[in-house]
Amino acid sequence: MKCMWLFIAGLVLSGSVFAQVNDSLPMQTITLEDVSIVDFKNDNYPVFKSKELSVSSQANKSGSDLGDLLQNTIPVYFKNYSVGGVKTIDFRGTGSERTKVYWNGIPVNSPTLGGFDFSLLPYYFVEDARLRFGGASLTDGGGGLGGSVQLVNPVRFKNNSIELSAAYGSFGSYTLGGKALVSKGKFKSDSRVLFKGAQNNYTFINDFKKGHPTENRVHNEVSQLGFQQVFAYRINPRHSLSARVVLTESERNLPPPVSSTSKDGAWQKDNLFLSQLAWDWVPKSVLYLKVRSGFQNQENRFVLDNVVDAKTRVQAWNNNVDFGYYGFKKLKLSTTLSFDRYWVNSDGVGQVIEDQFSGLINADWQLLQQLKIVIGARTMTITGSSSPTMPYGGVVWQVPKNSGNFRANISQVYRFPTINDRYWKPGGNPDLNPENGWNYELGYDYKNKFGKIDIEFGLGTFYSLVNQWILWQPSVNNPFIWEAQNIWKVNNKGVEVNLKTGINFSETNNLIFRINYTYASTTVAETKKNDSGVVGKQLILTPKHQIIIPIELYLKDFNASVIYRFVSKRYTDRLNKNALDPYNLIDLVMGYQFKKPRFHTNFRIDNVLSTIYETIPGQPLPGITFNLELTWKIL
Amino acid sequence: MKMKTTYKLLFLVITIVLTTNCNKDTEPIPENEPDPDDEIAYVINEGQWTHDNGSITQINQTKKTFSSNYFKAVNGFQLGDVVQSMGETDDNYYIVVNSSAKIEVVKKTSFESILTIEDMGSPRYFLAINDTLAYVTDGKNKLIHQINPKSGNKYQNIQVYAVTDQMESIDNEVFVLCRPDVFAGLFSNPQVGIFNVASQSQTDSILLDLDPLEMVRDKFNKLWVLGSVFGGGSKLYKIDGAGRNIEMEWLFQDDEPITQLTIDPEGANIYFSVSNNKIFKMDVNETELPSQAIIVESLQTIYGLSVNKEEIIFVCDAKDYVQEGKVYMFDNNGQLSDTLTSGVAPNGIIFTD
Repeated sequence: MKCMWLFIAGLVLSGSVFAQVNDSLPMQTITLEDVSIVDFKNDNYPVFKSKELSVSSQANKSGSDLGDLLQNTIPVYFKNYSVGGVKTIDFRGTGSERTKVYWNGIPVNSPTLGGFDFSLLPYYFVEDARLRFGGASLTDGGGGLGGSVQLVNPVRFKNNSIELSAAYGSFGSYTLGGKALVSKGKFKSDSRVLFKGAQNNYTFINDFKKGHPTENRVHNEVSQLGFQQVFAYRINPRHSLSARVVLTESERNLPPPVSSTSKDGAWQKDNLFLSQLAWDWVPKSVLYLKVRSGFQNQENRFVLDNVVDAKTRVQAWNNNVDFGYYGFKKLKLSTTLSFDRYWVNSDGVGQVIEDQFSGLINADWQLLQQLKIVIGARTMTITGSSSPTMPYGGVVWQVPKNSGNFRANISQVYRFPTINDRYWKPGGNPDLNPENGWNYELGYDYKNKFGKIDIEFGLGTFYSLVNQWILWQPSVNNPFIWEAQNIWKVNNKGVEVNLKTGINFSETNNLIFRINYTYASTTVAETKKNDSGVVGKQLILTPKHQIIIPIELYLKDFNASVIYRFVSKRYTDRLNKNALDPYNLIDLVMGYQFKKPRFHTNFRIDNVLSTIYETIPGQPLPGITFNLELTWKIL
Repeated sequence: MKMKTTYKLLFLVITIVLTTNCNKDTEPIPENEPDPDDEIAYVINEGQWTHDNGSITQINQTKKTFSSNYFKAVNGFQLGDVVQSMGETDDNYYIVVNSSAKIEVVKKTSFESILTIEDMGSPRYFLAINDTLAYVTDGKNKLIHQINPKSGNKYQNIQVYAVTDQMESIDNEVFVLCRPDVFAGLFSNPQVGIFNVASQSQTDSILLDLDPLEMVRDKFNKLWVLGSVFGGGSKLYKIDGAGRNIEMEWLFQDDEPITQLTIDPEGANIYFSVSNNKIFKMDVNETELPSQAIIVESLQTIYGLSVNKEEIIFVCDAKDYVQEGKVYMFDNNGQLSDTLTSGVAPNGIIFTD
């Protein structure tokens, strides 16, 4: 054990992120593309579970927003208030505050509430997404007990292009977008603008009312305006600079609860501003340095009649430096250092300034040709708090004769309480301990090709026991005051299965069939309260079973998809006596690429069966929905 | 061959998942309709906001039976969410459902729903003034609704400079707890507002230094008010409504706040809880707080307290507000006599006459 820590300490002067780049070479050669913005090449032998997704190529084939796209691809659960409404992600049943979201390396989870509202960032502004499960999230940062999502928009294009797109759909939904990509010598520019809105006046059966009447959703309109600009300048083959900025303004009417006989609702406005300057330097073919500095501003205003007018403003200065050395024959070393300063101003906590420091060291060691070990550690501290060290390690064994890989890993993850948890008045608790737990994973991955058929199969299991789980509960002394408390110990375990089969009829014609299944049991193991009834019960609004089956057909210029999704019941009370019904959804998508003029059409039917379902109690989601999109490639 | 086995296994998994997750919870079967002479207690269960699980638990004290979700069992539909309180007239109960912005009117004899008064803002409490007029306070809008309790017709609202809460009627005046809006803090003078029924306006007030949360009236028409403020301090006030003054007040320590207040049907003794583990009984003529609790029981969240004419003390434990609560029944010596599981977030109990 001592030797391991000495080894890790020695790496502080060198360091790394989980290995990327081609493992077949005895010594790595790093090019500028390898370090563009965020390392994004999948490891051939993944020690930790991750999933890459090309958002730009999947856009509008899998739903109307980034959340739809993710949940139609992998079994992550989104809690969704309405179309265009607040939408938060949940990995492995741990909750949105335990799933960390990053934009080009910048953490964008709200430091006050903990989660990130995916509806604020349209998929139009995201090129790729990388999802890291469980302890793999330590690569991105701390606190991701369930996992992390990295949303990136690297500059990859080579030719100039201009395109306009327009979409119109059910319930008054529309989208107008424009994109201009300019490449001139060493300079590249990527400009995008988006305007979207919806009436969202869909009908639903109101089970809350006498006679279960069919009603129209009212006071449910949304609109969003967004702009993104990326500049990149390649000084020489070893140097590049880039700057990126995204700005969205979202306005939403929030309907009254469906149980209410009132027609009055609330109104919410969100402004999101994210920016970043980046410098990539590859002084030698085995060395890289990345320096990033960004500023973000997130503002939220919530108005309820003349009674509530709550404002929250979060500003952050985010900086990080990545350094990697791949000069050893079998060893890749890397390190990341980051510093974030937050300025928070909200009606609930007043003004808070907080600094967060974090550091990561990582080593990828190709011990044998078919055996690789990864070890590392992240440390993190926030103003006035402890600085836990989060070690991790794993091994992957490539079974001979191309028979797949077995992987095993262990990691420790901490999550600091949010600013609201600590400072909300009343009830914030500055003495809260961070949540912490060990995460264990075992998995098997198989990938092969039999003639025209590609097959990928993965089976994994995970387990973690999270201590000091934070909950808001009535005060011990006063039932009228709620306090943030470390109350539970939570068991999180599950199984993940994925299968992908592709039949390649020809270069342009193929059929892809996938199945993803997740079982996630997230239960209370212990409680400090006199409340033993909750022990062993599944956490509220956390599905145990999720299945996604997308089938995609590509025939030259035509494509069609069917996406089936099943989500099991989700309990709405702590004793697991009441639950939201399970639901099955089927979406259909068809697209055609015209050659002259260069039009692409996309027709989508969501929720073909008009399934009645909710992800939040009392927030019905729409039945069958149609959407037609046209994209014109002018240049 | 291996692939075929894999597909079979996956098919089996999917089939099991789909079939094992479609079971509906069984609905509770209502108890028999009570006899006219039965003593009935109705537990008001708030439920969770937007969850449509507010409910009424019926306890038949004569037959020693109880029926959960009694309103739905009788009427066939859910009551709504955040069931705040129940008021009454000679013939009917008025169930105030806060988040649903409505009042469900049910017959006292059968609990059958006969009227739904909708679009009531954020209703909190109902008080019948006479056969044709009732007041309904509002926790969001700064007003008191005036309605006809028989028809549900609405009269002109009485504008107030605060959100309004519990009420007591003495002679031709209504004493209303008025407190600052917890969100905006626009009103800085917590008070007992005094409203004249004839003039339909606020005529006077008794200022308090803490936000009033609960109020009861004793047999001498004195008002007892529980005051508290988020983050510090709680008090018990004894108020002379006619004289417009605070006769007595008692300050409680921050770590042992007064949390609930009720009075027996005769108006002779008040009962109050301190923290979540002690309940005291106090004669309304006393000038000192009692030193000994009659009940010492460590509960999770005391959220309701009521006493019936047999002096059985009903204590509602809301636990964490997101699971079924408990109702504990103690005799007048503080001995636990019975316990039952209520709906979510029980906040009080109404007894039949």
